Amino acid sequence: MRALVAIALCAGVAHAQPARKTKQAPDKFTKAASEAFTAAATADTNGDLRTALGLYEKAHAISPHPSTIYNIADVQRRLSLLQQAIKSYETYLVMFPDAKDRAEVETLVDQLSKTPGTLIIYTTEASDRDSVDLAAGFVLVDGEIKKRPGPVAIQKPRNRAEISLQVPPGEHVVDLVTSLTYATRECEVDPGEQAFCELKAEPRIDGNTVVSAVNRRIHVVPDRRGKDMIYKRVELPAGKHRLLVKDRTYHCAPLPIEVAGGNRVSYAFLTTAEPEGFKRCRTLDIKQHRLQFEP
Amino acid sequence: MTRYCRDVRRFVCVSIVVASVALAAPPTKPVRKPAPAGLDADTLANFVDAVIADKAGDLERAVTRYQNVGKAIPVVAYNIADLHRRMEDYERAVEMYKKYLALAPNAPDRAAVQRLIDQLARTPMSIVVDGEDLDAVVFIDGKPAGPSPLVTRLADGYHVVDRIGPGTYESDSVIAKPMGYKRLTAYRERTGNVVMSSSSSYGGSWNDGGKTFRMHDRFTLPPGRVDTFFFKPGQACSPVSFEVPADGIVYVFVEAPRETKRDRCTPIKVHAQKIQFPAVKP
Repeated sequence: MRALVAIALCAGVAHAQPARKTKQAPDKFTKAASEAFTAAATADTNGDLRTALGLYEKAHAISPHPSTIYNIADVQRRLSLLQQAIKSYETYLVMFPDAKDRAEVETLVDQLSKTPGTLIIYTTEASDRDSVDLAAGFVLVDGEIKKRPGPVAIQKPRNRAEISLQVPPGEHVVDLVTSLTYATRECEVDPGEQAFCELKAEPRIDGNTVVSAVNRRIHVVPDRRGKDMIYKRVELPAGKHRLLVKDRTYHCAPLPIEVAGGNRVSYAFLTTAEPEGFKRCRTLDIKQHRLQFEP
Repeated sequence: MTRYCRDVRRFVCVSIVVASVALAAPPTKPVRKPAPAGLDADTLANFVDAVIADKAGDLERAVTRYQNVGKAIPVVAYNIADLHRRMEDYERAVEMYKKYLALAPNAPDRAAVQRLIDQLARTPMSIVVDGEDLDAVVFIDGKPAGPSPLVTRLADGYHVVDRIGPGTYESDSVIAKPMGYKRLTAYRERTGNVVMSSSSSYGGSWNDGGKTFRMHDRFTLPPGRVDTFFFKPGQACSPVSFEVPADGIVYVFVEAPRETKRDRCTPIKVHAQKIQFPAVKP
């Protein structure tokens, strides 16, 4: 077993070259669970992974056992159902805390959890007034520029303009800033999965400043009586500003931002790696860009 | 912090760094225990969800999931304690570590957990000083502590915290205890070119030469030299002298015994320092 896990780990991304490494049926299974387990193993040997998964799940429902849940995880991994596989592996570790292969499985879970997903960014049909011009804008994911203004290829089979990005699994904030408008959306992608992220916006949103954040509990205002600027495009006088930042109810250090005139939009993105439990403004990471558009 | 320190130039930010090192908090690395054998399917599912939430960084959700598992399970109590520890809620962490030891009196890691409890129980009180206005500065016991927002730890004992902004002033006293938490937020607008504060609990006012002095408050005096006494002239023999600047603010901190007798000469020390807020620039 350990050797098999090691082989899988050496293979790099675990689901890229799935290798079978199931466990033997346990001795103390009930008859029905044992039959389902055996049938599942046979289906697996025959390459019928969907059937194998169903039968392993049946066996586990009849009589839960670490070996069964491990095999469920293994089949899910080979079917590229990584999120489900992670949960099943975690269940195996919880059910079998003294497992000899614990370290290997934890490493595998960690690896699967980091498997990038694909975010497919698109907009609504041209008949929708709120569809946006993907080609004309900057696309930023979590504050990083992923695409500058330029053509966007039409993708099959959907026959529409799409921007395909490899991103770490989890929730992401996608911002599109064009010379005319601003769209923002939170999109979630599971490990190894594809997720579609539809962007739309009012046809015209003026302003030279965009402030975005990873978390809806972060607020930014231009002054003490100002309105929240997060996920908005606003007009500020050209020059240097210090914006007031609040994390839940806690005040943070100000966000310095320089607003340029002309065809430039100042963009700032605030993120934090700290949990919400902290009773203070969390440590914020700030990314800033000056987005230049053609006159 | 460093950049913000540069912005508020008149503050010796090095002192904050030194204080942070001296009062370092426990490490934040996770230390999870695996589940015990024999959990039923629902309990098992909650335990798995808790582990997944924890690994995803959603510590509050992880606590909730563990609570659904049941606190009477030693490793659950331990893992909840570990989550509270990482969220810097040391009081709850200690409570749950103690619960773990009570539920598992023969735990092989008993000595290590007891050491951790002792370490957390000594963690100095945490204080957060913040407010809406920019450029505010914080003084603790009359000494510069750093720009607002300030997050620091306080040694055990009595402290006076002053937060002075261009148009605000907030003051409070605190008796710091290990694992404690205090937040001081400035909401009230206060203007004036003099801020008087003291380690004495006295918070009253007095008149002297046509001027009114208010302790733990901010008020206006004409620029120039000021000579008065702590409390009313004739009732105390400790002079208070300072210079009111033509531009900026003078912060006057009267170091005095916490409890003072108004009818007795009180030995004091007076610390006066000028604060000048920068013009608004990043």
